Amino acid sequence: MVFQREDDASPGRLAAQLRELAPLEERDLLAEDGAGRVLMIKEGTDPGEIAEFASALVGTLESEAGIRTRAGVSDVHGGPEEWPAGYREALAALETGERLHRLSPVQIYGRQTLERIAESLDPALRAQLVKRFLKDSPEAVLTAETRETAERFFEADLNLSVAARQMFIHRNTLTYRLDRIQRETGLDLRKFEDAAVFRLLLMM
Amino acid sequence: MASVSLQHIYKVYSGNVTAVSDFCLDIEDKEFIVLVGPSGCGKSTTLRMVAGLEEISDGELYIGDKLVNDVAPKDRDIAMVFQNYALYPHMTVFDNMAFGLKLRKTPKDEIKRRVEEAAKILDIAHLLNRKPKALSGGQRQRVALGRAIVREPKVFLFDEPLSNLDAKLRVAMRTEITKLHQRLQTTFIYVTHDQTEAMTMASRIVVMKDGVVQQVDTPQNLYDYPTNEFVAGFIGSPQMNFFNVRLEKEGQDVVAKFGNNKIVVPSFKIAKFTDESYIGKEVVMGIRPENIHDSEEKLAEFSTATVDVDVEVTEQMGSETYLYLTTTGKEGNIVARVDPRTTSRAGNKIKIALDVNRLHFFDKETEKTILNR
Repeated sequence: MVFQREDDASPGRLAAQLRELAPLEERDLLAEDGAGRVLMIKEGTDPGEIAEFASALVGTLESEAGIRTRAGVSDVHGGPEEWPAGYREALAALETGERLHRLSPVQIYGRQTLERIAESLDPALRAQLVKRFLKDSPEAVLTAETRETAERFFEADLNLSVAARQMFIHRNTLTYRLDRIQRETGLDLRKFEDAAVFRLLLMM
Repeated sequence: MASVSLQHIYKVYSGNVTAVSDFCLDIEDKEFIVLVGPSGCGKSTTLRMVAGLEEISDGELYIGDKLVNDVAPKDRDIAMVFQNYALYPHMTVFDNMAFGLKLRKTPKDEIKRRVEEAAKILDIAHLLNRKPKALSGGQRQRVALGRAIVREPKVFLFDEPLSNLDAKLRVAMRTEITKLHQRLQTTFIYVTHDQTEAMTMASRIVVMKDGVVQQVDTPQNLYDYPTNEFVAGFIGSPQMNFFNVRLEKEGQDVVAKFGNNKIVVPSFKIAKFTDESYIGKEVVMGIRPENIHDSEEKLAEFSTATVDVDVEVTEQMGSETYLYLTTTGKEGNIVARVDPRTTSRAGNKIKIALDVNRLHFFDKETEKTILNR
């Protein structure tokens, strides 16, 4: 896991706070990476549990120390020889999350497969997809509201009621917004295939 | 236990974006205050300033008698329950609840006493040895509440704590939190976008919009005496119906005219106008759905306040029926909440009666109420 402060304040304090506040176990390790981030190596085999640990720790840092952080979580790795790869994955998750998922403070490398695919697409193909679905005005279609609506809807596994509740809007308002996206792009986010295409578009 | 006083609090972000403006509120010890408003109204920012998680740009914040603007969150003697109630997965419920106390080097026997007592209050004593993955969403939320309770703080802060729960569980937890407040007798400050949560739980509600407090009052007073159109529309579901009307003098009466319709405004309402000069002007008239009737009895009782309408849609809710109506001089639907035994059906042309004793009037420009209480 890699932790990074949301603000520009002293990275040294983050390391100190993590040492004080994180419920570390005997074989867990903490290290500063020299770039203001703190690397945590946590023993465990369940990636879901490790991600939940990161979420709980981000919450603890905020409520106990008033420090807002973001965390990137790598895949589960074996011995020390694999740790550099884990560090790179956690960092990549953090950077991708910062660029594409500002709303979620904990980013998990293993759940960013689509993001990786989007990044690896040929630029010509990207331009073609953008032109096809977002026409000549991607900025006008992909407004902050549209991005947030789509992200929340995807996080809720395309469940209208859950997404509406988490966005604090009425279900009809969400339906209206999805209808508008469909009018503008031809993609109906309520359908899996269209949702997958739109998700890729958001990542381009 | 403590009072909380926010005096002329501002939150201004870089780029001169004002999130909270001149927020003034005195919260008494043991009060249950709910901050409510739409997304982006500044309610969470205000709560986070109380918690010490956001810096206060200007103004003074007191907890008890102590000025706490520059006091670190952990030293404010508050406990906060967030929407995201992530628990440490490798720890038992007991250890999750005890974690904050261990950080504060609380003695072990005291930790045990507090955790067991909180678990008893929250009815999770039988779960203390379980890991979080063996808990349901509602149980996890109780553990999150437990983490706050064991701190025995002077003030509890809640930021949308129920929004991750499903509808049924949300209603149940609402009651639990109200009971918890009665039992703990501590100051609660609770943020929600949900006016039903606000109305059912609060001793006083603060309605916010665009970073500005619109009204602070008891739930019933907010409902009965909204200070402006925003509050009137925000509190109550379905929301209050609004009509652009012209107030005119006709003989001894004052009437409110819209489209082909004319409503005689009772003299006691006119006497409550803040300014008589509204007569002869256009104002906004409001009436709540439950004060619109289609029964013969009410049509006779309010015979000088009837309106011819077309019924577009009826929604039968079991205990009541909503009528969606149209008439001349009113854009969009009028919503009436009537007796479920109503005979009104979609496509009917009917008469409705407005309970004129329950009319609200607002200035068309300022949107403020023009009625004294």
